[in-house]
Amino acid sequence: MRTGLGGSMDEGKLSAVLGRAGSGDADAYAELFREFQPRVLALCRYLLGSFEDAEDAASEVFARLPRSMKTYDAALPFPKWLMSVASHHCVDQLRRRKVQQRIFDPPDERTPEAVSAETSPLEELVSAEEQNAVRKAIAALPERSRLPLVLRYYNDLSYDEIAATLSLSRANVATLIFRAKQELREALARKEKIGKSPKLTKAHKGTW
Amino acid sequence: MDCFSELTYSIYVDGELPADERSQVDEHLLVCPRCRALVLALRREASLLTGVLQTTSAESLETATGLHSALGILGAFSGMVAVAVVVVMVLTWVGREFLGSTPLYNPINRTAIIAAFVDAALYLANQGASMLYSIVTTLSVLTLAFLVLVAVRFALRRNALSMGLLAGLGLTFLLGSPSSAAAIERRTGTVVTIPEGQTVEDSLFVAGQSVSVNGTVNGNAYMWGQRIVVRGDIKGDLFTGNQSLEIDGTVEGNVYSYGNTVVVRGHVMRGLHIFAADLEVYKDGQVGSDAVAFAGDVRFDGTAGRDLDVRVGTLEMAGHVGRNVHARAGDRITVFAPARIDGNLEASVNNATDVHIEPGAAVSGKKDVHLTVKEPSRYSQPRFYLWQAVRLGAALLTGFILFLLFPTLFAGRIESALGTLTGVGIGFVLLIVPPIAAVALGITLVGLPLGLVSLMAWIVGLYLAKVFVAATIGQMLVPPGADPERQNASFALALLLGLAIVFVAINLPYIAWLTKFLVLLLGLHLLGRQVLATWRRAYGGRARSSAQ
Repeated sequence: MRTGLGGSMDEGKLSAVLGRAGSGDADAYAELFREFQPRVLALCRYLLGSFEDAEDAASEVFARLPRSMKTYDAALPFPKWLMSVASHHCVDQLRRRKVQQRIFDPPDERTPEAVSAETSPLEELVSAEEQNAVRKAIAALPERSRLPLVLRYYNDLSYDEIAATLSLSRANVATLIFRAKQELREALARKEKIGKSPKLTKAHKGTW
Repeated sequence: MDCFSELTYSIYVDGELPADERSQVDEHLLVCPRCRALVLALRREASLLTGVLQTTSAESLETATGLHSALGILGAFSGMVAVAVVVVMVLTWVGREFLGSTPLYNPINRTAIIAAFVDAALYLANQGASMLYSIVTTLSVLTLAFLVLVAVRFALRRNALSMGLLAGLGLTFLLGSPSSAAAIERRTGTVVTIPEGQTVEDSLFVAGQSVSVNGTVNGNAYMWGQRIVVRGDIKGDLFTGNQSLEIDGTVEGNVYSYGNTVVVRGHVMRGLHIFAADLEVYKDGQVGSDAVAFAGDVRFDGTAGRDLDVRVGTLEMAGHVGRNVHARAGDRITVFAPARIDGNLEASVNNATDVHIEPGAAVSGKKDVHLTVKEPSRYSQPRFYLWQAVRLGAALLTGFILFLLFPTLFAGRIESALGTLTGVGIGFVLLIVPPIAAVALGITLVGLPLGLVSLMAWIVGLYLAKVFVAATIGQMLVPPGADPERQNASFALALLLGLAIVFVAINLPYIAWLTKFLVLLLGLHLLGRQVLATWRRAYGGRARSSAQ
């Protein structure tokens, strides 16, 4: 099941629904909800780290949609716009959670190279199981590296857009994404080491 | 030229390098195969991340937190169990140490239970009659109004149906009017008296605060009131719900009374059946047949033609019993001097010293004193907890094996409170019908094996009921994640949690019988529904494929 940014609703239908939504048709919003809720929820889940919070956030995004629709620029693809609304909402939530305004300390620019010697970029993964492992590893990343990574590769935002969303400099975003990938590689490499040794444990893991 | 940093390549791959830097990188890549390989790998990684993230369904991330919160729930639950154990132990101790001597507050004391029942019934006795009356009146008025509306609507069409309805309406009016009740007398009011000399030809229905029967009732008397006094003569049976009932006159039939105090100074020619806090039969009081009482205290100084059969707190008697006395007393039994028992005296008490028979009292038959041995509370015995743990383990294993074999059996959910109620109802049907059907099948020779098999299935179902309830409750608390690898583990955890809850519920003091019964009914319903659904899926699928 692909729930990427390209929806199952085709362009023509989507623009028709958006037109109806613009004129305040409640049914149109219900359709938008059905169409995009899973994706918004998944994004919120990645960004907020907790399923309950994600559900709250997603439903709030849709509850506010009639109001926020006024700021929608028809030139932008709607899914992309909706995802950026959702990610802004999540980042706001995270900010509110923290006492200080900035969730991100600017990363330490000097060290990124240190880790790279040990880990190489992840090769293509095939099995669903391995994909699942990557997903879990992403979910387990610390917030400061998880957010930029998700915004980049789930939301397809540019570095500038991420920087604006997270109130960071462009250079910081680049470093954080790079770091996130390294942390991910390390986490998966660790898991590989543990999981590989005895074949038995893998086969029987699921039973209990 | 030196190679660029990996960070730069990462930015390059993301397409975010400024144009001038990008062309420098492009140039370098032409000459450096190592960096080309790195960039290729980074590109693959980026597309992998996009792919992995964008094919995510939200649920696949849920498992980790689900399991995590399940452990949290388990922890909280263990805490709750610990608290419950402490509470039960404290209650048991308090009950043993203090409540035995203060019967009023002891929930197991019979007198107190009866008093509570009577108090509850009294509310109904005092308010219930008028409440019921107003409800019935309102309902009948509404029904009439509805009928009138419908009749008028149909009368405009003048067809057979409208005539029928009008006839029904007329009949209702006829039945509803007082004249139709000529055979039965109904009386209501604060004070209702049947004066001396007056005769009620048939049965009498009375609801009132104070009811006196000084005249004669030729049929049965049904009376509901605070104070009921019978000074006259009731030829039939007497049924009462009351605070106090005094029988000074004669009841030629049986007496059935549910009340707080019942006093008999007159003559009951047949049986006396009493459920009351106090029953006193005076010296002049006579019961023609058996006197049966479930009461707090009984004082019996009168005469019973046949048996005296009582379950009481205390029994004191100085009267004459024509046959046997069966008495089970929580506190004590005293037989005073002029008493005469022509048959046996069988007494069940807690201690041998609770039975007193004065020397002047005569018992013609045997004197049997049974001691009811009070078992120590099972909650205070470690054996009890051990056995519960063993049973829980067995149930867990059974449920888990079943889940591995037939996972769909456990897909049932309770959607709502209403669903639960319906479930209990359906469960009741499933509890009653299969054994009857099995016996019915067993009567025919051909059906015998079938009957036996269904009986066996039913018995297995009785055992599995609690496993199913537990699984359902558990899965409500620990929803199964989408990750198939963790399915079994999460089910095992859910089942364990559910079983723990169910086992605590069916072992609660005082209400265990109720929770056990409810769990049984609900479990049978869940089991029945899932078996049906599973069968339907299998059978329905085959039917469809064979149709093609």
